[in-house]
Amino acid sequence: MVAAGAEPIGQRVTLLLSNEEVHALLPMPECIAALEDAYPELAAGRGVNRRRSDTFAATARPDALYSLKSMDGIAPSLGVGAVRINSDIVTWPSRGGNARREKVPAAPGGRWVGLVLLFSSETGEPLAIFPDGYLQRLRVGATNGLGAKYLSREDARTVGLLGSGWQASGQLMAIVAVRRIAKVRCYSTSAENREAFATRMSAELGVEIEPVASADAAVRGADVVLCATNSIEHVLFQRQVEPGMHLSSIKRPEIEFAAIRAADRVIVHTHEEKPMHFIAAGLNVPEAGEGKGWSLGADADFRSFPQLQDLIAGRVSGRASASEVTCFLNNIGMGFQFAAAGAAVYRKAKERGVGRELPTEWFTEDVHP
Amino acid sequence: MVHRGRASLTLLIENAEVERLLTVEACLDALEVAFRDLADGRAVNRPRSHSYTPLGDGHHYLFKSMDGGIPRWGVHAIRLSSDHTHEFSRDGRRRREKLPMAPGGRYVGLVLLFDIHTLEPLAIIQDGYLQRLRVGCTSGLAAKYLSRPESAGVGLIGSGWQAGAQLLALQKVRAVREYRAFSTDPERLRAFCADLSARLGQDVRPVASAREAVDGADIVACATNSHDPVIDGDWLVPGQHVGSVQSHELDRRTLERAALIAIRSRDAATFHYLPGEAPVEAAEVKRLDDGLSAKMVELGDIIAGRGGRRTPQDITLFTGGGLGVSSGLGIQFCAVGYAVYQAAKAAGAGREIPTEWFLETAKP
Repeated sequence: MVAAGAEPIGQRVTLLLSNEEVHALLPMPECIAALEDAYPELAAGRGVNRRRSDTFAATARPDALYSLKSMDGIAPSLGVGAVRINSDIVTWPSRGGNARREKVPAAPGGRWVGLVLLFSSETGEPLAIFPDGYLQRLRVGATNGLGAKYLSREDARTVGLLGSGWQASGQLMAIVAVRRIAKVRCYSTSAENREAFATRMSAELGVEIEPVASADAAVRGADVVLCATNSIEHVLFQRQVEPGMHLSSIKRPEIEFAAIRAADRVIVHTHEEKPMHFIAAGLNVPEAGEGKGWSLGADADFRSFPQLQDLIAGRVSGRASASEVTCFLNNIGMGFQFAAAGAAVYRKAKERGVGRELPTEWFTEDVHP
Repeated sequence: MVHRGRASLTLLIENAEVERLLTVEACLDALEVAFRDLADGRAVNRPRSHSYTPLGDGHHYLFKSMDGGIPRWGVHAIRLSSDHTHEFSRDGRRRREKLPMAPGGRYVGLVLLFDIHTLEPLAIIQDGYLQRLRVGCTSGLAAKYLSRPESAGVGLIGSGWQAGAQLLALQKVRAVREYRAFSTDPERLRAFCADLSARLGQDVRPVASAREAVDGADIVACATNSHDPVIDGDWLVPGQHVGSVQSHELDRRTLERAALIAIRSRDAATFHYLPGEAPVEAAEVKRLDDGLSAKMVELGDIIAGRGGRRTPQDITLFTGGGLGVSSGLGIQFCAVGYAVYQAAKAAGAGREIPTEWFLETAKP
């Protein structure tokens, strides 16, 4: 135990990083490795995760709510704790017959506000502050990438991708990091979006991506099916599932429960079932309602499925045969991921001298709070 | 989308500036609105969460947060504490202290204030000073609504910073003519009385016992860190209002004699997240006492006129530290943080940093 405040405040700095810097510092394979190394600490009960909380209040727009979302976690072996905070305006438009959750870029210049604050778990001092956008996609991708690494067939070559947004690109980055993918078929409700996505991501990843006109066309014959949508209703159904497939989802409602129940092996990200919602009186938050979003498939006992941390720690086994249908449900994110991946970002930023240096004194105080 | 002519700036406001800018009146007014809006369902609050990991020998890293929003002002705030705590036994009791482990022997506590329309962080505020005034002013608000309007005598138990904040707030809510204070440390009490007399512009008289402070006072204010009761419920007389900042200060008799017990919130006080060896504090599950629950009323409901003193003879009680419920509320930090922000904008104070640093074009 070091003496209290043994080091002088002097020239201590807190790093402010940009998304571009985070992007350059942490390639997908390193993010996957950072999470793979950290999860056993969570499985062993040394790391800690606080369940996500969503606090909702009214805005001036009748169709939009303000949401302050936060989650935190501590990875003691890495010496860090992290909190991720999102200051969002959320709407629930209906498109293609499906209700979606959309965050409105309402900040000046059409921007979003999401921050990760990384703290030392030894001294409490803030080590770094950075926007969450890039790391958010990276850690969601890395989480499903880990699921695929342990659950998909080692010879998996084809991917059926449902979705063409920001998360879909992260999912592809991760699957190509863990499997030798030769072909991707991509479906999303907007033809324009899926075509642009295929062109852009083919160039970025060097993998053939074919935009297709239906979900069935994307899923048929795929070794790995990646659901990467913002739908709060089902997008993948049992009738589409074939032997040997690995099914992967980034949010709880995407896969029909019948398909989950029929799978031979199901792993969930975590047993925490849904965020804690705190909602001002009289507001309607669609995803918090019965039969939608977090409550969809409420007949599934998610606690009966092992968690990713147990799979990585070797407490449960992965795929046992080529014909098994496996399923990984990234049912909810964890603040702990921002600690684990954030520690890797911080270490590399220090090594490379990247980031804007702010005096740590700004964020610490001599008044006992 | 409103595009502003100039780049937005986020204010970084340090404790010294908060102390200079935040008046007791502004703090009282802000909290009054916050509690009323919360009671009316127009505001929202998330109870505190504690995430712990053990560091050995009773030491823990404790990351704490709570948030709350007040739409009428267009703001939402989260308060973050990144603490190193130490639990130990003294005189047969478990105690916990925060250690200033950050470089330079400092603590880490911040309030981040967001604009709910433009999402931007408006301010990042050190929480030390506003935290103290928040507690004092919340007690002051309770006294404003629960003490008899003609209350003029205050009896104080305690001589620390929190005790001082109690008097600063009480002076603004009642026409107080007499202040008496007692503390177990006579030397500290003398210094405290001299200091507060100067601050209040009114005499604060040291007395030799807690009983002497309580006798004849219209308002009794307890603001100590004692783990034992500091007053005896049998000393109380009809019509008195008692305020307390933490529940150990009160004996059972005081709770029994109170006609009404005001609390900040009936919601769960704290959600604990802990692997491995938990601190004793977290293992002690606190909950509402069934026998007392019937006479508990939330402060917001009292402010909104849905509860309060019924007769001049009632003994009323505000327990700011809760009785197994209601720790600090995120919404209090939102209210006081907003008051600080408004004062800083008006005074041109605070360190301006580009808001752009905290915005992103990547969709999270």
